[in-house]
This record gives sequence, structure tokens and C-alpha cells, in this order.
Amino acid sequence: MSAVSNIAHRKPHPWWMELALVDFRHAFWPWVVYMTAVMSLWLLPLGPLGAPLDIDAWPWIAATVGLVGPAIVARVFCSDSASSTMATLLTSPRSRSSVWFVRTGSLALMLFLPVLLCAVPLPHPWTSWTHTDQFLMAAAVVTLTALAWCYATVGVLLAILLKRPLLVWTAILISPLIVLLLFVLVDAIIGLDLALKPGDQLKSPVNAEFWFVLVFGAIAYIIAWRLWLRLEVRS
Amino acid sequence: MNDSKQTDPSLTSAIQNVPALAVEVHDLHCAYGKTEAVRGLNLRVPGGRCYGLFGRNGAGKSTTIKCLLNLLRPQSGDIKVFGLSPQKDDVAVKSRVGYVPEHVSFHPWMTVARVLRYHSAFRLHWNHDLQSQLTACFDLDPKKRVDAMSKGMRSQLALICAVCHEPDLLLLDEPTSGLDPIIRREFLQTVIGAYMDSAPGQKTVLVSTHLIAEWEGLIDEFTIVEKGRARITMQTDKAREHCRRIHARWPGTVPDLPAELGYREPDETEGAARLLTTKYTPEQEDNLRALGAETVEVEPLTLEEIFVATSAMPNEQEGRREL
Repeated sequence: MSAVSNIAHRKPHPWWMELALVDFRHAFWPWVVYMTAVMSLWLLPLGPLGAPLDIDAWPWIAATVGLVGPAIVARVFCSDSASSTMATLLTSPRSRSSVWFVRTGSLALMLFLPVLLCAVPLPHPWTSWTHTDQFLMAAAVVTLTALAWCYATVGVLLAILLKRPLLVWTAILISPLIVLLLFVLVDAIIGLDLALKPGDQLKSPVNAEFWFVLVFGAIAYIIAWRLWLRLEVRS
Repeated sequence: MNDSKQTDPSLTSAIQNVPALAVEVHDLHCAYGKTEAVRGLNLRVPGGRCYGLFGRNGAGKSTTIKCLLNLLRPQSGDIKVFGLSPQKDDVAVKSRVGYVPEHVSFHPWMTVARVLRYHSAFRLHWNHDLQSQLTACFDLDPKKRVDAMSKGMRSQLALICAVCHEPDLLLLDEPTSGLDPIIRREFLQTVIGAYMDSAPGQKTVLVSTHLIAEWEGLIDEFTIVEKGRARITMQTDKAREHCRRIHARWPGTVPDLPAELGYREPDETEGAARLLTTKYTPEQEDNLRALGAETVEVEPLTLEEIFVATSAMPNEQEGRREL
């Protein structure tokens, strides 16, 4: 038997672990960028010298989660090579509900992990916030992230089912706008001010920071996806 | 137990845990939006055989296979795989089916060994010896990354993934397109032959292809699909027996020939006629001579010629004809 045939038969992990690991590996680099962005935004106000920077981190974190989160979902679900995973999953003798449960769980963990880390109490200027404020902020971020994620997932699934790749791009590019819209909607309904500071009056979340995030986020999105697409085509 | 029961095919199949029919499709309709890809297809694939689904591009072959795998939901029709519904018994059906898609894609960063490990994790049973044999046979380096592999090598890897869990039914959708002739021969003779021989009478292959010549000698029975319908279904032996091309020559002009003698190919020369028939009998030669033919020569057709001839013949009747 040739040396080539001597494959080391490493016992595979359980299928759900293999699936989660592969999804994680596939989205690794966008996830690293995402994690770094969110954690930096959380830690930056502390400043290298301990001097708080003049930014409201939570809205930035929320926007980053909303903007980059769907990119990770799209990376996992809609790249060309992901069709291999789809084919493996859809033709494997595993129930679809268990497969989607695992994928949802692993993706949710990837998306919420930095948010959860941000919830760790730090010697932060905002520790003066009330627990209600913090809870509302965290709830808003998690809810909006989940909605953005669901939107991107539905878009991708629709695109796959209807065989319309254009829908994928639409889902990816429009999702930041949807996130922004949801911010406005949430604000209108419950009066949640994401740029709230202790003692401040309620104000609209659609401020300069948000427009900045929206425009640059959208540009970053397009550049990132063009690069990814080029890499996929080349591979 | 009496002898008559033992020779009953359905009972034999039951003993071997293989139903008489591996695949049964009745009046299948499947559409992509307004485009109807499959329009009332009927198909009966006996267990333990190598079955060909032949047809031109867009005939509905791939759509049919995807419906068998429950990757597509048909608008109407009845599908049974080993007597089970792919929709209702999704997991049970897929645990017995291996599939090689037309377009193979893997994660580009995975190595061969990693791809195999990933696929094996989803299967209840995996034959590691077979994996080693096939990897060696195709000379695939386990450490090689997918993005450094050629299209042919990726197809080979997909085939290994499809057969190593030793499925009862192997669904192949244009598996050899894009492979070079040597690899194709290896693919067909080594892998498909070995797969069929691994448990004679129990392993079924359903292959969709328009590269029919390559499957000559492996296909036991086939259906020619045209515009989403089964045009003709034949057993290969009977097809070779009944499908013939008849060359006849007359001293003058060719007389009017009755339709039952066969389909007249259009590019005839003066005084000569070429007839294609799917119901050949020696009497046809006598009938042609009775009509004044000087010489009558009969030649057998290859599977590919049968396919081309059948496609060229006018569709006498929508639906299916069986031989």
C-alpha cells in the first residue's frame, strides 16, 4: 500500500461539533475583525493612559454588531464554498431541525460572545449608569443583532431556495439599513436613547455617529465582499 | 418453503432487505418558478442494478435526482426510495443514499483528510479501509488542500465521500463531466464496478449523464428523458437486440415505406434509405426486400446511438414506452 493511502484515521468529533468547528473556521477572519472591533470599542474609552475617550461606545458596539454580524452569517451561509457544507448537511442522514439548531447555536455564540464579554463589569466611566440603563442597552444590542442576523439568514436562505444570488447581495447590503431602521423604530416605540449619558435628555439615536457608522460600514461591507468574492473565485 | 416462493423476486428482495424497486417515481412534476423542469416523469429503478438516466441538457435529470434527495420539493407526484418517502422519511432515506453532485465544491482551506473526516462525522457507518483504498487508487495526497486540487481530483474526492459509507443507492449527477479519459475510466471501472460488486444484487446506481458512451457495459437499464418526461425505458440487452439501424438500397428511387418499418433518417442518398427502429425483427428485412430493396444491411446500435436515434425520432406518443 502506498504511503498516500496511509491516512491517519483520526476519529471525527460528533457531527454537531464538526459542523460548528467548520463554520467557525470558515468565518474565522471576519470573526476576528468583528471581535476586535467590538472589544476595542468597549476598551478604548478606558484609553491607554486610563483617560476615557470622548465616544459613546455602546451605540458604536451596537452598530458594529449590527453591521459586521450579518457579514459573518453571510460568510458562513452564502460563499461558494459554503455550498459544500450545504450539500453535506442536506444530503446527510441528520434531521434538518437538529442541523439548523447547531448552526444557529454556533453562530449565535460567535455573534454574542463579544457582547457578553462587554457585559463583564469593568472600571468604566459608565459604571455610574443604572442597572436598568445597562440592561436596556444590552437588550437592545442583543435584539437588534438577532434581528439583523435573522434578516441576513432569511435573505440568504431565500436566495439559495430561489436560486437568486442577487438576493444574497441585497440581503448583505441592505441589512445595515435595516439595522438602522430598527434602531429608529425601537427608539420611537420605547424611547430608548442609545447615546444616553447619565443626566442627559432623551435624544434621537440618528446622530452623526450613526451616519458615520452607516456610510463607512456600507463601504467596508462592499470592499470586504468584493475581496472575498475575488478570493473565492480565485480558489 | 417451496421453490416457487424462493424464485419470487419480491421475496428474494425482502430476504436481502432490498425492495424490488430502489426508486419509484410516479407522475412527477417539478418547476422552478414558471419553468417546469419535470413534467409527469415516471421512473422505476430496480434494486441491485446500474440504471442510466439519459437526456440532453435541461431534460430534467438533475431536478429528478434532487427530488429523490428531498433537496427540491416537487409540485406533485409520488416518490419512493426503498419504499420510503424522501420527504416524510428524510433521515432514513439519506442514510442509505450516496450522492455525487454535478458541481462539486468543498471548503478551499480543507485538506483531503479533513474533508473525509468532516463527511464521515455525519455518517453512522464509514469504511476506513475503502477510504484508504480509493485515496490510494486516485493518488490523492491526504495533506493536499482543496484549493490546490484540480476539478477532476475534487470529483474523485466527492466520489470517495459518497461511497465510503457504503450506501445502498448511489446517485450520480453527471459525475464524469470535466474528468480526463484516464480518470474517467478509473472512475467507472474501478469505483463503480467495485461498488456494484461489493454486494452483488444489493447495490444500486442511478446515474444521470449525457456522456453515454462511457457507461456502455455498466448500464443494465436506462430511461431517456426528454423535456421532463420519460421518452423511452429499456433494458440494455433488449435495447441492443431491438434497436437497429437498417440500410436498404433500391435500384431506383426509394418507395414509400410503411411507418412500422422504422423512422427514416433524413440525410438519405439517392436510392438508399436508413431506417431506425426500436422494434427490430428479422421480418423487417424480408418486408424491405418485398418492397424491392436490392440490399438490406442491419447494424446494431451503441447506447449513445440509441440515445441519439431515439432523440431524433418523432415522439409518437407523449409518455413512456417500455421494452
